[in-house]
Amino acid sequence: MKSWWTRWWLDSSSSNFVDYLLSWLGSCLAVISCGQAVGSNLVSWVGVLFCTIAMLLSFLVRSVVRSQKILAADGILYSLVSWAAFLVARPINAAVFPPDTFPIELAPSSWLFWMTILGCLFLWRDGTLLFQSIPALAMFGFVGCYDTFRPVVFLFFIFLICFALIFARAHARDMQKRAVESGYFVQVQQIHLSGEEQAEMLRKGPWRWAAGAEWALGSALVIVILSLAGAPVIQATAKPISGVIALRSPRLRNATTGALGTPQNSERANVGNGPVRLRAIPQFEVSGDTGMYYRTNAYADWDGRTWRKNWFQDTNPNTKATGMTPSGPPARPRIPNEYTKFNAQTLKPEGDLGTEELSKVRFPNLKDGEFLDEFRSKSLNIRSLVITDELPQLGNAPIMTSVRTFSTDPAGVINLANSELYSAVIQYDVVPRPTNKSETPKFVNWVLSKCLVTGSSDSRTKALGLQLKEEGGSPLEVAERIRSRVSQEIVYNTNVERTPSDVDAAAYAMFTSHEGYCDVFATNMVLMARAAGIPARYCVGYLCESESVRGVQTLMENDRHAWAELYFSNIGWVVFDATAGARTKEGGGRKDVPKDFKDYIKSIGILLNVLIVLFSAFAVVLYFRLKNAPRSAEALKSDLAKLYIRYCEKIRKATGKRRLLHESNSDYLNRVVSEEMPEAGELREIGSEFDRLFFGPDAINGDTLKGLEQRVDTLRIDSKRN
Amino acid sequence: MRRVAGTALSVASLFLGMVAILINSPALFYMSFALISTIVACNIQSWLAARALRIERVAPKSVHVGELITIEIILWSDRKIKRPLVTLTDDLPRALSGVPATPSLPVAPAYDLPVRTMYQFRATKRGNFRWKNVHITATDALGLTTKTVQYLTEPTEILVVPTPIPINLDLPSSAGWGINEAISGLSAGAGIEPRGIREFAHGDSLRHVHWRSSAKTGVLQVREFQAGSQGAAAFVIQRTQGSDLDGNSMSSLDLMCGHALFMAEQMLRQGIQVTFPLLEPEHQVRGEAERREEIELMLGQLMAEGVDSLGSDLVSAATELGTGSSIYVLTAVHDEAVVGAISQLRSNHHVIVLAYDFASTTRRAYVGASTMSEAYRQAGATVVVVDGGRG
Repeated sequence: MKSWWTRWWLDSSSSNFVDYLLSWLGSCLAVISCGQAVGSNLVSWVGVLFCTIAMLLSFLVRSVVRSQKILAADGILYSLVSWAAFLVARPINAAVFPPDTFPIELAPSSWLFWMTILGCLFLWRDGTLLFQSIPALAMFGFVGCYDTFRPVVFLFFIFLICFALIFARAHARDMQKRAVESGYFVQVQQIHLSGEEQAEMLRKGPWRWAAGAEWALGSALVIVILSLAGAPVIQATAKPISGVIALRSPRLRNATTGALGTPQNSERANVGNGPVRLRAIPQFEVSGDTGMYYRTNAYADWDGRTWRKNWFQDTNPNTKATGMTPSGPPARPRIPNEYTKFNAQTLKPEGDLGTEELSKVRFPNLKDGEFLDEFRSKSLNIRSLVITDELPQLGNAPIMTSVRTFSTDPAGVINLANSELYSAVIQYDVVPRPTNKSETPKFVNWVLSKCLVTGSSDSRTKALGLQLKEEGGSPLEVAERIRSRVSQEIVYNTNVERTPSDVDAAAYAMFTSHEGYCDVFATNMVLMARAAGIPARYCVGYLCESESVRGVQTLMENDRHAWAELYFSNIGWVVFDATAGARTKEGGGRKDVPKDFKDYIKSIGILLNVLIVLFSAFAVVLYFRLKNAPRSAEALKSDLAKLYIRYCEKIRKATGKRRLLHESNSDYLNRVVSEEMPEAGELREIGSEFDRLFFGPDAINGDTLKGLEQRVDTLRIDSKRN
Repeated sequence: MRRVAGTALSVASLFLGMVAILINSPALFYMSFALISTIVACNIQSWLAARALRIERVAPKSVHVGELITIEIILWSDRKIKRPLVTLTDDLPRALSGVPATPSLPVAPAYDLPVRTMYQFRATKRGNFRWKNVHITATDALGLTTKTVQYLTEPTEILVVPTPIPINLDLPSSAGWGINEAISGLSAGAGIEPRGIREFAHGDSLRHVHWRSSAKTGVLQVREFQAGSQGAAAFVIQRTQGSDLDGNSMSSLDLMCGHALFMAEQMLRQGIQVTFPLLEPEHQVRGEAERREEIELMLGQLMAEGVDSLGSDLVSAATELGTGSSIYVLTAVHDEAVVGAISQLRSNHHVIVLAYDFASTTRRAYVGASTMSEAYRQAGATVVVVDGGRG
């Protein structure tokens, strides 16, 4: 007696509980992936709940309703709810889920999410049961595209197995339907059989040798294993041509981390957070007068582990000297024009520094032959590929046009008010210096005074800064001396250990570990410059070292960087990047592939090579063993059968007549071999030998078979004559 | 449905693969790799499944038009591989089956065992048919892909013989012997003796209804007559090349054969000697059933491929017949020579012409049945116009 499960599994007469279970599992995996991709467990669980209810209803309808007319309406209903899902996804999302659960990039996945759920209601026949895999597959594709939920791959593999089984079972049902239509059961006088009995009869009869659903399951598992091993290799192989399209990554509600361990749009930036993994994910596209250093944030206050903006918090005792009221922050100012430090008439920098001295300074945003005053004509087109409130900016104070909502920052940084995708044009232009010098706002001095505060920085850092200042030279020369010293002391390493919690992260890197990445380089640079009396600020943003393609630079996530900007009167803010020229630890570079990934690829490669070698060795050993091993009677008989097929094939080619199934060997020869044929004797002799070996009492041995094989091989029948 | 699904999946997997490369998404690499592998595996499986098969066809030698025919096909695998189910489509001659055959029974060929499959169809056209090709369609285990391979088998031949088509002939008593004697017998004493009463069958003349018996039994009964032992009827069917006209559901020759068979059956039942001069080399006296089968096979092979005109055939046929026999001429296309032949034969034979009117279905220039029947009538034949359009 078969169990109910076995009966359901084997029954190919109509779709049953097993099919609905598989379809339910596949649909649930898709909605779970969708939920996890948007970072919401609620979405996943709501999806599973609704899928379960809808699938149960569908199964109920399928089991209860006998009218084919009603069941045949499933396709139309499925189409209708698919369209409805597109129309009502937004209001339903708004009603069921918290706001912004589905970011704009993943909006189609919310349509597919509801289409999958609503579709579960109308899986009444095989067509819709199979079609249900389409929205699920599309959903997996979406999740894979945005790469926000890595385990989706494993869920997809389980889905693939369900999918294979559903298709295999539907195929068996289709075949059984064909068997009924063929008149087979009428022919064998078994028209009274139920569908289940028909399936049983077919399985024991003409389908006995078929590769069915079990074969599909086995194949699917093999494919999964193959994919796990093969896909990384394919990805590595396709690396030179992959990633040419920059996809906007969705900004998820629950996303917390940004590059360098710094949350995006954060008021603070941590330093010394330990190893960092930055991915090659495009963030911005920049065109126009592009540069290298794109600042997105600037920080003022250092507390030993964290940089804070605090531009409007009066923590600086020097503010009294500037006349600012300590009671509260000043009103948000307009972008300070005074940051432009060029003479409007001569278009030359004003002040003490001449061209000769300027040439000694490294200005990363300038190309060879350009002067600082050329900033005046620069303009930058920026398109964000991620939802963000960052705005990459070049050089000195920009004036931004075509903006929607933005807030200004006294440090010359413009922040977008909201996290969104945007496209902006930033123009750098000369703003005439105020004619009345007495009108110079006190505000600027207040800002600069904040950039001189060393705060709670380590005394060794301050001392080194002062020491380097005392070696003499102009402020630019002092700054360069500090940059050079930091660069020499610290080895660049993105795999550096996290700084112990009770120490100053900058000083620990400078004087103890001598390792770190851009954040400690920049922090030391800023703190020492401040100690030397040069206003400095800690900046984060993007360092784009790649060549622009057709005038467009793509700022990737692994372009994120931190550096120091020092203020010089008559020049403005100048980038000082202490990582330039620093030694880099092997595997610890900015763009190095993470070690574990390299190890993974390497391991896969080694594994494949080992498998190939083992397989080859196994094949060689097997070949020789089989060649030399005494053949079993069964194997010899099998060889004899193959040889007989060759023999018959030779005769067929020569005479054009095939041996009929009901013909014995001698019947066949009598029919096709005429006595006039010169080979007739030989053919009959070989035929007799076959008869003797097939049906005679003597056991077949290898030598006899070999001799017969030679005779068959040397047999030449003139086909033209015959 | 699933073939569409297979194509859609192939396209989707390639699309995912391309997107994976373009945006360098690891998850998509895994997904597309798995999908492409699945499609490739399915293709390989169906490709292998359709190859290396041996096939033999078993078909009946002869069947009637409209009869359900079962063709058995035996397959075995030349390779020791596990195959998914395969189906086949026989390369039936187009004329043989106007309606599609049933799908074949899906089977899984085995290496060392012949596995039988079958399909059925109804023959709609009379004739001798021969074919040898069969297409094997194999799918993978998921049914996503299909591969079809054509195989050559030993030629199969089927003779489709006509089915009797009832026809009601109201002939005057002067029409002579044969079946018409029965009719002429109604007017008493023309050498015809009543044979008995039987149930009404389609095609019986209403004039033969035996009302008294019908009233008694409540079922329509007709009188049956027996021809005299001297009764003889010969059929001459127009088979000149190009004379087979298309009808609504059957051609003129098929209709004439069906009618001839019906009339022959009726006559044989009444003991009349039925011959088909020119079509059978020599006629031996056989039992009714045997003779009927002989006529069926003969009519099944009749083709409109003759070079002689119907008139010429008529004259030649008459030489094989005894004096006084009735000659039934079945014609669909007007033949001037027939007029002369009738004039020549009317002194020794009774000539009855069944003129088939195909004016409503034929497209070519056509002499209407009324025109030709008038000519034949004037020549001395008894003419019955048969509406060919209903055929």
